Amino acid sequence: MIKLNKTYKIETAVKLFTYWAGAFTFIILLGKVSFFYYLISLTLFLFSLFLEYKKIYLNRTFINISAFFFIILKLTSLDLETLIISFLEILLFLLSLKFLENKKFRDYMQIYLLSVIIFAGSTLIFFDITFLVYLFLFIIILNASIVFLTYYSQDPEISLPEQILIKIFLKTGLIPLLAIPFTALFFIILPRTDSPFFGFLNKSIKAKSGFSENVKLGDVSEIQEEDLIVFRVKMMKINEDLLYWRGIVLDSFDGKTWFSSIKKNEEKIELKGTPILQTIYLEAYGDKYLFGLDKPYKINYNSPFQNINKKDLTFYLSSDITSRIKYEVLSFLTSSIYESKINKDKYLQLPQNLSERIKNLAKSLKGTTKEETIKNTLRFLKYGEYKYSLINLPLSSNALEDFLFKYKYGNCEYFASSMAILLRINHIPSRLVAGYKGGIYNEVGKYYLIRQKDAHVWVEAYIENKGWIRYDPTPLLAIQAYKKPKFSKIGLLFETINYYYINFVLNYDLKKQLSVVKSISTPFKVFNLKIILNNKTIFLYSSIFILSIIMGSFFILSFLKKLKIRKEERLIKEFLRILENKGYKKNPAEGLEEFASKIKEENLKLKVFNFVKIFEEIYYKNIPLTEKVSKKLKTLIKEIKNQKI
Amino acid sequence: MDPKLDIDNLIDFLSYYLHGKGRALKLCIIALLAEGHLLIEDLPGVGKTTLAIAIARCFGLNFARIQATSDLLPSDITGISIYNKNTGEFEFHPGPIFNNIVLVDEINRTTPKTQSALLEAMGEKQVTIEGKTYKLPQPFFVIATQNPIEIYGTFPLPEAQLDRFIMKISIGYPPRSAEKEILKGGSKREELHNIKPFLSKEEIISIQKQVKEVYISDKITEYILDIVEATRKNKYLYAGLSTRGALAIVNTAKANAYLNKRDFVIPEDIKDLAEYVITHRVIFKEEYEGTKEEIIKSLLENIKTPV
Repeated sequence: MIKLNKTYKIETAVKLFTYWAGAFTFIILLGKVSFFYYLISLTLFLFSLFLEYKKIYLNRTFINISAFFFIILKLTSLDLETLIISFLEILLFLLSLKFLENKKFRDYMQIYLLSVIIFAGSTLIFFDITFLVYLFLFIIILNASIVFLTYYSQDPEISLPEQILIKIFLKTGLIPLLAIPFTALFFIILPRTDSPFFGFLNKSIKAKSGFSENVKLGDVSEIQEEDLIVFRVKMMKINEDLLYWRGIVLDSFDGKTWFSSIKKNEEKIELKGTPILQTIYLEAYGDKYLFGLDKPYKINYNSPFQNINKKDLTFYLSSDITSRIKYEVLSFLTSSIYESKINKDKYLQLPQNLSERIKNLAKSLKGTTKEETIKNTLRFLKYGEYKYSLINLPLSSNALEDFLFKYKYGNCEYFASSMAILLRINHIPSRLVAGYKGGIYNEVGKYYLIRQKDAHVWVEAYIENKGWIRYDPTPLLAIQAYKKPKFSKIGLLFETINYYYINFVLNYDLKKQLSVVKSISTPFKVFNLKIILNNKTIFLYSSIFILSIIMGSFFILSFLKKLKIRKEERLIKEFLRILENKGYKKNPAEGLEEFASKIKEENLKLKVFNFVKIFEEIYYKNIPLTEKVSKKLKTLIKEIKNQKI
Repeated sequence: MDPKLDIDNLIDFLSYYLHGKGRALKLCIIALLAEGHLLIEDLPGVGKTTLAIAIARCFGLNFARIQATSDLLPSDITGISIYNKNTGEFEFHPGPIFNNIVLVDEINRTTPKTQSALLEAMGEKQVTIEGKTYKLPQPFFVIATQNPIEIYGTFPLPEAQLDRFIMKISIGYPPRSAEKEILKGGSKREELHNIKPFLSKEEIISIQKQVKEVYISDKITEYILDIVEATRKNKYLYAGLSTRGALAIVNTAKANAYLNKRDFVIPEDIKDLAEYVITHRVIFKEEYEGTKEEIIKSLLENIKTPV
């Protein structure tokens, strides 16, 4: 018995996959765009399914005009803050409109283009791993529908058995699968464009200025200044002396290296001072610490994968930051952290082989009170004979001693280490805080720019009843002389553009931001509106609006008309091109019938005449080209093309 | 569209009487349908009169023939008022021009005075005799012939008057086979008088109306204007087409389209007839007089059709 296979028209397959692709764009944007637009678009989409089932199609002109008006309407209420969302809404609406039409080859292509753009756009607001799954399925479906569409464009009437269709689908499905390894490669490369490709493979041997987890002394003799940007902070301009960006607290010193030994500290710390909110755009700088203006109290970071850990008012992620991120920090501008109870032993720990010279020096700095001791030590280091330097640093196993007694110059690490150790000898609990200091304020963008060379280490000393107090023993003037901003005007301009770009891409949490912005700007907006309405400008604006609509529709109509004429011309061009391939070239001065009568092959001649007669009637009688006639002419062209001579 | 006049059928039928004159016959009908007049420039004895009779007969029209001579007077064509003794009044006796189809043989032999009287009647479709205006019958179609060889003692038509003929054609010698038939069977002119009309006079008039309604698109009008402009700028020509000439192109093209069963004009309708419509309306520089048709043809070959 022969099993009869069901055959399907290729158009059905194209439609099926196209609708699937459309459905995926709806799935991906579910809950991402405003409910109102989503509902309208979805209704239209479902309605188009129904129309497709009933074989009813809407007039193209009507659809185009409504799309035009929708876009105008949407553009008038466009908010820069919700740019991506608004564009996605527009695209989704256009896509659902597109589905309502009687779809031709180009309409299918437009649908695919729109859905691809929506997918691309949604990457800016979709941060879930499920996106990858959607993307994968979408690519498979899109690929299949384009393949079927290619068949369809060759001959819309093709019918294929079900098995063949499935075979085509499965085999062409391999194309995107093969592309995955390459895509994966790009996936690795692209987010790192700010740093050189594969730069992580060969770490520079020369030490560069910058933040690090540990503070090591005596390992390098020279530190290179690095202009690489670490983070940008959107906030108001404040006094430069207060610009300490807290990164990590280092509590233990083994004579050479400072490191952090404290486990997670859950104790609640209270801060008093001016609260200040910052939005920080942190580059993938290669470590896991999140910086904040001293003292950061709370960090707000919407990370899907990582938790924020907190200790000693420093924040860090569970793994290194590999792409640019954005977070908000609430800091309190104060120089002290009040803690009633601390582990004194930890903060008084000294390296075992500490030399007597240092101990003697510490004793000489001891005052009657702890505050006085701190003051003496600070004065000794900061305003004494010690100088700031990044070159010819003490290169020894006993770097601290060499710095204090021999070289008398060094970078901030030496100053801070010295102060902490000197204080610890005098029984004052102290620790190092590493982070950044200073930054360039961009007046245009209203943000601070912090570079690797701004890396800094300072000291916190504990005084009973007062808590941890920040001291910076590094000579101030020296640092300023070293770290003069080196930004030209053009450099600054580019930097500002870069900032806005980063801002635009990373600003995914728009809803939240928008509400904040709105609440701030509402009084201004109302005020502005009043000014406008008070004048007679309302008449002017409305007349401009109406005029532009009228002109726009005229423009569209004439454009559509032109499009129709061009359609005829496209047909005749195609017709002449095919005949030229067959060896019959039309003289420009020849009429079509005259040309057709020259054809020798009877079969071909008949078909050519057939075409010419229909075409002439439309062309020389100025009859609008209907879909039906157009289709007929196209079939004739195809027949002529396939006619063997 | 469904034309009342099936030209192929008609030509098929008439070819029995007019051996090998299908083309001339078609052009003749086109001139008639375009409400113009025809000038046939050809040697004597190639069947001009037979053609005219055939046209008249198959459309059921009156026919008259005027043999133009140098002593032919205008009144010989238009008619004359003669005193009637019985009534005591002058009575108008219409001349041969009061017929539907008038064959004016060797029009260039008659004096300019008579020529202009004839041409005026052709243009106005009415004649005025002794202050009284008489309408000419409808349809009114003049076929004039002239002999291109004998120039001596003739009065060649001035260009301005040539312009009044919608087309100028020549019949040419019949092909050998056709001529053989004629020699074997003799002239069939007598039999022509007995054929039944294809169409009535009224039908011809209504067809003429239909021809006027044939659609001519802007693209075709532009094409015609291109042709007109080309004749005006051509280096072989002194003077190009007049506006009446352009109108003649439009009218003949419409008639041609009608005969080809179309209600719209295509470039072929114009190209087909260009040499008959244009050649006698333009003035060639003397050195190119001998190659008139060639020049007009090459002129057409350099004008792009709309598609």
